[in-house]
Amino acid sequence: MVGLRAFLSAWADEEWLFGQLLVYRVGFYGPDLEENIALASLAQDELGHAGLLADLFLPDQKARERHFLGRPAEEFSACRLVQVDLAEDWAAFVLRNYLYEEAEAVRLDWFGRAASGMPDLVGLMRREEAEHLAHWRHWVRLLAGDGEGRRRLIAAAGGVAELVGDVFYLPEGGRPQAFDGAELRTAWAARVRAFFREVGLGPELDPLVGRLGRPPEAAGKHPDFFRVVETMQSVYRSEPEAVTWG
Amino acid sequence: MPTSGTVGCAMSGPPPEAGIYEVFIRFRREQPFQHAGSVRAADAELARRYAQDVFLRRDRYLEVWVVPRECIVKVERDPWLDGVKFRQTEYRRPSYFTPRLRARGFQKVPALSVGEE
Amino acid sequence: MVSAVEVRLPAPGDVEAFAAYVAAGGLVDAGDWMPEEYRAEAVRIVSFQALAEVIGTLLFAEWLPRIASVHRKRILTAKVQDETGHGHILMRVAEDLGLTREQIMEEYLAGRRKLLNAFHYGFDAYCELPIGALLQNSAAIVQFRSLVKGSYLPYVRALRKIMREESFHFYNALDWTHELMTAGTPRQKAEVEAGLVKWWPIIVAYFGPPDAASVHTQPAMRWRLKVNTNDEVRQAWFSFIVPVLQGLGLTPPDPKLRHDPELGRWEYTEPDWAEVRAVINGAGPRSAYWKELIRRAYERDGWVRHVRAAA
Repeated sequence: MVGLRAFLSAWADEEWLFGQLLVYRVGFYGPDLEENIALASLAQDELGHAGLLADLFLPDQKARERHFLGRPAEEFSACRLVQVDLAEDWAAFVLRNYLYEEAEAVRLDWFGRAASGMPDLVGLMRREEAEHLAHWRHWVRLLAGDGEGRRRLIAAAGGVAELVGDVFYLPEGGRPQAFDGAELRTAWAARVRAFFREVGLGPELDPLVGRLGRPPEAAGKHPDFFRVVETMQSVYRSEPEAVTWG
Repeated sequence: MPTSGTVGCAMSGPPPEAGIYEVFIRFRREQPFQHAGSVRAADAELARRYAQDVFLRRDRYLEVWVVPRECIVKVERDPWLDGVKFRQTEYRRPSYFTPRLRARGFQKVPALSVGEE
Repeated sequence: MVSAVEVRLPAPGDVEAFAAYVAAGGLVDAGDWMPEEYRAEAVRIVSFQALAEVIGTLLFAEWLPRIASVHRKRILTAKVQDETGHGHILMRVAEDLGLTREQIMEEYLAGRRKLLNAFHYGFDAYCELPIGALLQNSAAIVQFRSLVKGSYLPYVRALRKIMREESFHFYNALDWTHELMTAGTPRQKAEVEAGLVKWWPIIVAYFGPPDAASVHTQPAMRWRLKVNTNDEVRQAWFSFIVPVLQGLGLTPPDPKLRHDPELGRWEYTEPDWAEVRAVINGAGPRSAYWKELIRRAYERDGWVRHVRAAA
């Protein structure tokens, strides 16, 4: 399928970065020990997905390593939603993670229909992402039903809304023919709106949901992103002659 | 007072799920609990009594737990975990490393008698 | 291991019978009657390790975002996850003995709870991680092999799970160090060697001060919560780690280290115990730093721990 490589590359980048952002959170105490342990499983899954997706267009392990750890930040093709470290604000972290996983479900639905012949990969990712979505939905539900949690979720919504504009954006000439970003965003918005209603998060989050429904727009890299990539790559890049880092 | 032949009577048909108690027994201190089975009883006190009569007439034992079935949160067996997931997570089992060490020529990979897989 | 079916359980309140039971190899479970002195010692030992596991994660978590290989990143995430799990399982054992995880963390933050020496340090260079992990994990395994023979059953069960995971950590550290020592650049190898020089004396001291004459009458030994002395465990570690390091082409940085076949023990340079004490009391290079990191996260996310599901 023409343009599939760009789609897969963007998807791999996003899974890799999302895994990285979860990994940041693993380094903090808590919020409680049990949740931290659960988070670490989600992080490993996402890093694994990134590897599996990259394997489709970069079968060589060293090439994959260079791809994630050696490419300049500008060359990453990832939505803003996974460019920013939100680990210090649990409510914002939960909200972002929920939105990303809801989008992931939409993406997987599309991919499963559009690209037959990869049932194992799709099956694995569906399985794990379904668990991830259930986890973040559960946290949204928990926070929405708690006075303090609800207050913080709503407070976080404005900042997170700034990050959603380029989800499912792929440049002209770099997208599969059957890929319609606007359609996917409409589906995404519908799922999120329905879930927010279900957990009692209504009018306060309408502006956020409204943005989800708009067609995808190109966006430059978020200023925080360069720091995220620099951290991720600094050791790998520190010795170009190194054959291995272990 | 309802008679046993009356249609729709509360005394006909099986009683509801509530009232089933799962029985777990630990025979020796250093052993884990074993799920012995279950009993049906009107309350916990009777369930406790029945558990001993039903399962422990001939055994010395250390401890018995009698748990209302509705209190148990079951995690269903998932074949996916044994198959695809198990293969995908080889990186976090000790056995992943031994072939790598051997291929690189590490002599005498130490055996760890606890937790080796 | 003597089972309670053979050895008579002490009657509640009979301290002497309890002491005899434990000395004969009897096991104590959560919910059993125990003398207050036993409970206090058990919770002291368990909570000390629980805190160590939690703080120990920080040394690796700091580098997790920077791991320079795709597969090692997932492995290290699994390792950090395990260590958090070790902290968790031991916190649960302590909680069943009457000390909550909040008390443990808050005592640490208030300076009323000590942390073992090793986690007053950090990793200052990337290639220090594999060798630091190798020394830490091997020491932990040797020590837990001894502690798992102790009398408090919930702790013993926790240690069994912990040891399975420590063996994964050890093999990972070994594989990682070996890869660098066989295929690394001169700079990478030098970083590994420097890491060995730095961490060797720290881990020698990790096992605790040399045995006093009175060691066998200390509470932990009397109650069989510990069954080997510090020196015994340290000696076992030397026997384990020295051949491993030799296999890696590394030499322990202690010119005095040698095994005396007649005495059947290792000679080694004693750590500077005054310095070790000072480190444990907060003078380590990262004593304040890790504490501050925990404090920030702990206080900032306290509200999350109070979230309750809507009725």
